[in-house]
Order: sequence, then C-alpha cells, then structure tokens
Amino acid sequence: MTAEAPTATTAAPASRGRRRVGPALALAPAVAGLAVFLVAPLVVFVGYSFLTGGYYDVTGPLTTDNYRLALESEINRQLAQNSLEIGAAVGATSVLLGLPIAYWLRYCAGRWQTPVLFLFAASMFASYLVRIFAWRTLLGQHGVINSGLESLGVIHDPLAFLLFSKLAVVLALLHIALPYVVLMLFAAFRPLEPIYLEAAQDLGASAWTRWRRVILPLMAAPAAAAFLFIFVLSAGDYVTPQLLGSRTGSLLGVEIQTQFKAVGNFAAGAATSVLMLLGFLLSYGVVAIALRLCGIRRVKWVS
Amino acid sequence: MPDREGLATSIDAALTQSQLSRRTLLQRAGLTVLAATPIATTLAACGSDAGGSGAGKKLVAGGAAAAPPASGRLDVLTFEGFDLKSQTRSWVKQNGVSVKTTYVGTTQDVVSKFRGGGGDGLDMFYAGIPSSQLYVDAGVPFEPLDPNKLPNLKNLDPYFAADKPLWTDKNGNRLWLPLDFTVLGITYDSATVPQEPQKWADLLAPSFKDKLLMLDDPNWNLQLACSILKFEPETLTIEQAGKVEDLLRQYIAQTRTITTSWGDATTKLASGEATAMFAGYGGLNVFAAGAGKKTIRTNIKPSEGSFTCVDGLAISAQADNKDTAYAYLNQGLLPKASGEFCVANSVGTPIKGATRYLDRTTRELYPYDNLESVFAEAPLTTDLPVKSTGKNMTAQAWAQRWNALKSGS
Repeated sequence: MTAEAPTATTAAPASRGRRRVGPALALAPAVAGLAVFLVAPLVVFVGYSFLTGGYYDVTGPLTTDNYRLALESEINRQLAQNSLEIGAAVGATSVLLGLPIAYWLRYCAGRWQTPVLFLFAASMFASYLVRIFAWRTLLGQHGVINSGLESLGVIHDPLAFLLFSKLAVVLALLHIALPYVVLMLFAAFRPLEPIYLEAAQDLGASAWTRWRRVILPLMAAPAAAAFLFIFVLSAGDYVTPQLLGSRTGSLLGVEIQTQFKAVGNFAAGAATSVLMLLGFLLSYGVVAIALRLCGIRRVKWVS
Repeated sequence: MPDREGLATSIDAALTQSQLSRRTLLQRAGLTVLAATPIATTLAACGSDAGGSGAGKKLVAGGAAAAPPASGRLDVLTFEGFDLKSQTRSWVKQNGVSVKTTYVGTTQDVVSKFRGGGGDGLDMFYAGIPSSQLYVDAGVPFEPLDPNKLPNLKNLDPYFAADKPLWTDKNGNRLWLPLDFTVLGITYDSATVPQEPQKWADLLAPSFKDKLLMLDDPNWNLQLACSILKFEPETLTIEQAGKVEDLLRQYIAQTRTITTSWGDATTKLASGEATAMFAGYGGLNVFAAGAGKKTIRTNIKPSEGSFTCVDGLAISAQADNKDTAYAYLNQGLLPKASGEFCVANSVGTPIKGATRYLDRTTRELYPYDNLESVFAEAPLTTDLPVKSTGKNMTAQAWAQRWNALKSGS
C-alpha cells in the first residue's frame, strides 16, 4: 500500500479553513466596533423605549404606552409627513442632479476630473453650521437673492417664503447631500467602461437610448443606495430644520431631540426613535421591492 | 466619611471576642458610652445636611470671611456673556486661573446637562430666577454656599442680601449668587416700528405678522404669559395652563420663527428678519448694536405687566475646584466688576455701589433708590414644580405642551 499523495480534495478542507479564518480575523475589529458603537446603544435605546419615562429619568414598569402615544400623536404624524416629504425631495433631487454630474466626471471631464472631484470632496470639510448660516444670508429678506431681485426690479417686496420654510430646509440639505451623492455615483460609474457605451452607439442607440437601456439599469442599484442614504440623513436631521425651517419645516428629528433635551422624557424619545428606524427599514424594503419589480436583478455586470 | 455601621460592628466584635466577667463587661460598657459620645457628635457633624434639619451655613461669629486661594481650571456652564470672564480678566491672570465656559441656549439646558450625565466636570453653573427652584426639584447638585468664603457678600443690595426662598434652601443656605436682574420687555426695531409698543397685545397687530420672534424656552414664555394673565406659575392648574396655551398660540401665529438662543435672536433682529420679540430683554439692544444694528430698543414697562429675571451663578456640589469657584464668585460681587458686567448686558445690578460704574443708559433703566417698586410691578417668581399633585401643571407636562404649541397644534 502506498501512501496517497495528497490530492486537491483531501488538501481542500485545511486550506478552506485557513481561508475562512483569515477574513474573519480581519473583520473582527470592525465587527467589535459595530457591536460596541452601534448594536449596544441600539439595544439600550430599545430597552428605554419600553420603560416608563420620568423627568430626565427612566424607571419601571415595562410598558408599550410610549409606542402607543407616539403613534397616536398628531404632532408626530405631521412631523413624520414633513420628514418623508423633505427626505424624499432631497434624496430624489440629489440623485437626479448627481447622476449627470457623475456621468460628466467619468466620461467627459478629462483633465478636469481630479480637480472637480477634489472640490466636491473639499466642500465637505466646510463646517455644517457655517453652510446653514450661509443659506440664511442667501435666502433672508435682506439677503443676496432678495436684494438682487429687488435691485433688478423683479420684485418690490422681499420673498419671505424663501427662508424659515420647507424650501429653505430642502435647499440647505441638498447643498450638504450633493457632494456625497456625486462621489458615490462616480464610484459606481467606474466599472462601466466607455467601451460599453461605444458599443451601444455603434449598434444605433441614441444618447437617450444609451441612458435608458444601458446606464440607468446598471446604475439603478447604486442610485437607489444613494437615494436611501440621503433620505435617511435628511429625514432624520434636526439642526437644519431648527435654524432654517421654523414651524412649517420642522422634522421628526427635532421632536426626538426635544423629548430628550427639553421635555426630559427619554422613554418617549426612544420610542419615537425606534419607530423612525423601523420607518427607514420599511423604506429600504420598498426600494428593494421596486428594484426587483423593475427587473434590475436580471442586469448583471460582466467583467 | 466614617462608616457608622462598620464602626458599631467592630466595637461590638471587640467587646464580645474575649471572655467577659461581669466586672469587665461593666467597665467596658462605661468606656463605650464615654467614647461613643464624641464619635456620634463627629458623625453628625460630618453628615450631609441635604434634606435634613441641620442649621444653615452662617458666618462664624467674630470670624473674618475670606475668599479661599484660587488656582487651576474652572468649568462653567452658563449663557454667553454671563460667565464674568471679561470682568475678572486681570484677577484670572494674576492667579493663574483658566475659565472654560460651555454655553447654554435656554435655562432648560442646565437641567438636561446634569440629568443627562454631562455635569460631572462642572464647577459652576447658571442659576437664577425663575429657574432655580426647578433646578433644585430636578436634583441639580447645588453646593450650599459658605458665607465665610464670600467676604464680598456684604456688597449685595439689601433686597438680594435678605434670605429668601428664591435663593436659599430649606435650611437657609444660599444656593447661588445674583449677577444681575432684568425685567422682561418688548424688544423691537425702532427703525421699522415707529411707535414703541406699549403692551404685549400690540404685538398681535397685523403689522407684526411674520415679524415676531419667540425664544424656544417653554418656561420663559410660560412665565410671561402667567404675568399677563395674573397666574402664579408655582401653583398653576391644568385649567389655567389651557388659558396660557391659548394666549401663547396667538403670539406663535405671529412669529417669523421660534429662535433657539439669544444669540440667534440677536442675529435675526440685526438682519431684519424679525422686527420684535415676545419676552425680550435689554441685553438684546446691546448685542444687536454690537452687530451693527443700533436701533433695537426694549420697553420694560408694558402695561399688562411682566416679570423679573435674575441671573446668577452657583457652585456645583460635584465641583473639583470649589475654592477657586468661591474666589471667582467673590470677584463677581465687587462693584466695579458688577458695573462693567451690567453695562455689557444692559441689565440691573444687585450690588451696592456698582451704579457709579454704570453708563447713563444702563443706570436709568431702574430706580436704584427704590428697587422694591420695580419688583412690585414685575415680580420675581419661580418655575413650575416637577412633581404632580394631579391638578397642577408640572414642568415636564408644560414642556410637552410647548412642544406641541410651537409645532402648530
């Protein structure tokens, strides 16, 4: 009997095991970080939402009243509607603007690609609050836009609706969101080589057909991801609505902040936060189903 | 702090460990009684007087009050401009003290800071009228002030020097020191509002539609509404709170926006976004002038009445630099420091002799020879209670209602 030389099949389990351990070890710090900084606080939050809220305190007994009151609250309904409208508006507009910009950067910018990308990235270093106050200067009754329109004779009285309204909130959030969307979509465009677009053109596709039959199907999933990312950030914001939105432009995030900071009802704030999180998960589900219904799953990248 | 139970247990163990004869037992029992008396007295003296019936901290008879030596870092939580930094600059430099201030936007922020777990490193914090009673009820950790460490306490005006529940605990300990007082008034832009509003109801005129500001502070607005409706906040019933809501709803409907802080209010008045403020104060005149808008005025005698706010500083019971905090507060009680502070904020001074350091405009705000008349017209009041009796409005319930009000319900 001769010893069999190790074959690929007999050697495979050991090397497969090593291949599994390697990535697991590499991921361990990230998983630990997520567990500590995401999962643990979330668990505490969910726990708070089932406790009874005191004055800057939570105590027993366990209750579902916080959820019931949050769902029955007329204010929460109104603010949730505002959040949905503003989040969707900012998400959709930023993707609609971001797609052509990312396309231009990928295929047409040439030597301008790097400097423009740098400008988009650099704009994110500006302070969030400074950008919000800059919008106040632009949109105010004596701001740049109103003063300009008045001096041109287009209007006689300043347009008061520009500031402290939903419009102001959307504009400011769009300004903050657009660089993120452009960079995300540019990264998504990278694998789409120009040769595919040239092939479509050679086969007689017009520019619009190339967009409709080649680019949009391939970019649908990344665009949806960008939309969801911006939707969550915008709908949950609580600084911009307070500084630019006033009463009509207030969002659910402001209500949550108020519950924790001014009212001191941690349990109610936690319940509203959990409901908001469930709402975001639902919106992810809706987008995923929409992509499936559009047949996006059948579109495959060929490398 | 000695562990009383542990001490008793160890005494008991020592007495019972050895075999006792009757004589030995009697001898040891006698010694124990003699020894326990000073121990008990010491333990009682070391015990906390929070909620107890011990006597308040009073000046040691025949002793000279002296501020403790100062050094190190002071962490202060208060409104911007209300930390006395500008007025104590040279003293701070001489003593090598560094003052780090965290700013609050509303009086509620102090409670949320301490109850939310962020108050540990603080040495001093904002306290005043009407908020201090709420702070006490909410468990904000006041250090009862030792007058022996505040020699300049004698500079307080007699009204503010007297022991009043407004600034003392139930043991008579003073909990915070006043820096200023101010009567709430109608702040307006005289450039666009030609006639000074004489009463709060003037702000409901169509000319103020979408031009009014309100501060996003539930207690502040409630206090003024109670002054107008002649209610007492401390005993406000739920029914009365409904009337307060109805009144405030009218003013909220006039607002351009509900602002998050005094600084933001200044920006809006200075930029012309708003032309008047409900529950403003004279400091806005000064701040707006600093921003280039010199036409902001405040009428502190509206005919329906108002209330007086007193701003002050307290020492935290959790402070790690109490001596320097005492010395710093002591500096704030000097007439020159108080005068400069009050000019900078356009407020009244509670310090005797500080009027000579006020400019004419600030000095003419209040009749210093008869401050009682000011407080008779615009009383000092306290905030809503924290606890519910079932019929009264509580601070938390009101904050919830204010939240609904400002969202438009």
